Amino acid sequence: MGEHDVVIIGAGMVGATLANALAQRKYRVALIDSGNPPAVDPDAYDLRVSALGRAAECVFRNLDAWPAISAQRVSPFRKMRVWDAGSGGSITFDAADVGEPQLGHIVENSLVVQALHRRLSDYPGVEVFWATEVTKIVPHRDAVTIEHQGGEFKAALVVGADGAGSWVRKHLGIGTRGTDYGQRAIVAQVRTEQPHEYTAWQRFLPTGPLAFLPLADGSCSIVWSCDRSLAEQLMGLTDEAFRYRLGEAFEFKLGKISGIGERGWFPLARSHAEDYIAVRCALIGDAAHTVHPLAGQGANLGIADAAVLAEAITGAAGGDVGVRSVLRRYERWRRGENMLMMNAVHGLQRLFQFQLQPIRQIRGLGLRLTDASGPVKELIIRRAMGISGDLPQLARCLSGNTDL
Amino acid sequence: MDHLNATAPLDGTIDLREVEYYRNLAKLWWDRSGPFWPLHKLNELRVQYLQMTLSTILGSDASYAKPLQGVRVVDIGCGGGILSESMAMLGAEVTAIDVVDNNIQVARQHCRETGFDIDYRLSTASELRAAGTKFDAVLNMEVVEHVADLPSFLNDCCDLVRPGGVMVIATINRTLVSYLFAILGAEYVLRWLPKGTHRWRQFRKPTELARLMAADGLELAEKVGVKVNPFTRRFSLTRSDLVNYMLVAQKSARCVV
Repeated sequence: MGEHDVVIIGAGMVGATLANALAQRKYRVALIDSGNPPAVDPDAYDLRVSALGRAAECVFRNLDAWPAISAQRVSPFRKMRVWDAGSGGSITFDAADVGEPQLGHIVENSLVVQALHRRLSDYPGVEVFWATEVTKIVPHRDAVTIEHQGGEFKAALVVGADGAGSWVRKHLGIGTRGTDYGQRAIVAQVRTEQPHEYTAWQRFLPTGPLAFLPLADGSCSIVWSCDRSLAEQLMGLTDEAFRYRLGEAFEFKLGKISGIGERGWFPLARSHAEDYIAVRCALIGDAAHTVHPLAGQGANLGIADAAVLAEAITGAAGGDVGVRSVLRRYERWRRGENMLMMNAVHGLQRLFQFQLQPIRQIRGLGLRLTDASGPVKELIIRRAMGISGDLPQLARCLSGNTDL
Repeated sequence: MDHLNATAPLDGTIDLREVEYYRNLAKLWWDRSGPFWPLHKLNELRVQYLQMTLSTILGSDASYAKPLQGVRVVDIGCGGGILSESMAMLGAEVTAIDVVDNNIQVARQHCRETGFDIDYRLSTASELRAAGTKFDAVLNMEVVEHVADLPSFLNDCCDLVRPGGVMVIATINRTLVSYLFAILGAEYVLRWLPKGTHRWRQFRKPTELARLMAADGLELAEKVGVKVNPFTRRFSLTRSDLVNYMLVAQKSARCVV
């Protein structure tokens, strides 16, 4: 098989974003995935959705993939309402507070991946290999060989974008640090009696956070985090019993739950790779870090990784994109940013788990004070939207291309 | 029980005669002191057990007058509908299938009289599977010991269970004790069942069933034995699974990673 500048293992949202970014800059890219192309059901929502912030949206705009994404089922959310079961405190973030039309968009992962792959097929320098299992990665001084069942690839750099259980990370012998929350997130699409008001709703329960994310057709996508045993119990319930338990856990904020689709779950863990890079190798997205979904940051962090790595590669002096200076630039840039967000999310998760009365009171006070303080709120919104911090070129929207 | 499986009169022009035929057959099925008395006795115990187990796992409100409200149940091998009607009485939405046309006719006939809304179908598990319907609970009562190709039958049944839902199997163990009780005792000595009803080699051990279901993603949640007092003719639950037993297995929920 031919030679490539970069071989990306994992053709999901993050891998396909990097492939687009590199292809746009005329690099020769191979994108390999052990699975099959994502199937998009025109009649049913994907159970995996992401809340894309402004920075991720700008990346997709700059890659010319946004029109294909926004033409499909995507729902802008203008507000975010967070409240606490223990303290009665609540806080509302409004896009209007920072002069933006929306805080972000709720998108289905499979639709985004499909749109990114459609765009990729326009680039002659990109080859995509589905159902291809990589068996070995061998770095050399001036190249890296990637072996699979049917042959091998040669490239200057190999990138692991193969998700939380990353084979690449394990194969490279890179360890992880983190916490297994011992929790699961239950996901489903539900209908509520009252309209979602284009608001992302989140209630902190003693058992974990419960989110209702607005979807384009007026329904909501729920993410209900709780201990494994409770999750297993909830998954056993009939639709009718589950709908009642869900409505109750959500304090019937949007009325009764009037309908529900199939339920699914995924495990919750916080994990951070000890290194993002090795010789002629880099890890991006969930392969490098996973985060609790409560702040909706997982996809955004991965897309930022892809944008930054693309920028570091573009800036490679002398044309060799796999040299250590390139990889170090990527790691230095992203490790700190990811750590900051991961710690903030982890801190929030822990803060809301405490059930001691004084902590609950302080928490309620904190929420009310933050809610009343314009500047603090603005800071949090900007950070969560990804419009502050050190942004790569690809994540900056030029003025004038921000409307849908 | 050959007389029960006899073909209905074929001169179908006279509807009244056909109706009368099934009405008489239904009377036989539903006569608590008739040939099906063991089934009625066993059913009482089973219904109590199912009500408790299903409402616990599936979360329906056990204190409510209809403790299985909202539970979608399929009764495989429903016979004359004795269990199906009990489930419907507890509030479940019941689909019931059997491969013997007479049974379905009998069940429908009785159901018309009692007024329950039960979806009786002359159908197999594999046909139901092809239709893509999923159920909260799949009930396999005294069926697996009569099935020729058990692995493929159970595979079809497992597919009918929605993720997180359950399958309940009631059957007879393959042990020396079960040979003495179920075949010599029930068929030859007590004559509660017609001779030749059961073949001992067709009986399944709980471990065999658990292994087959595990291959289809169902995990054993509960196992309980059923015993009968030959003098009082009373059935009750027991820890020993050496003769009759019931298994409850739950299907793992769908992981979306």
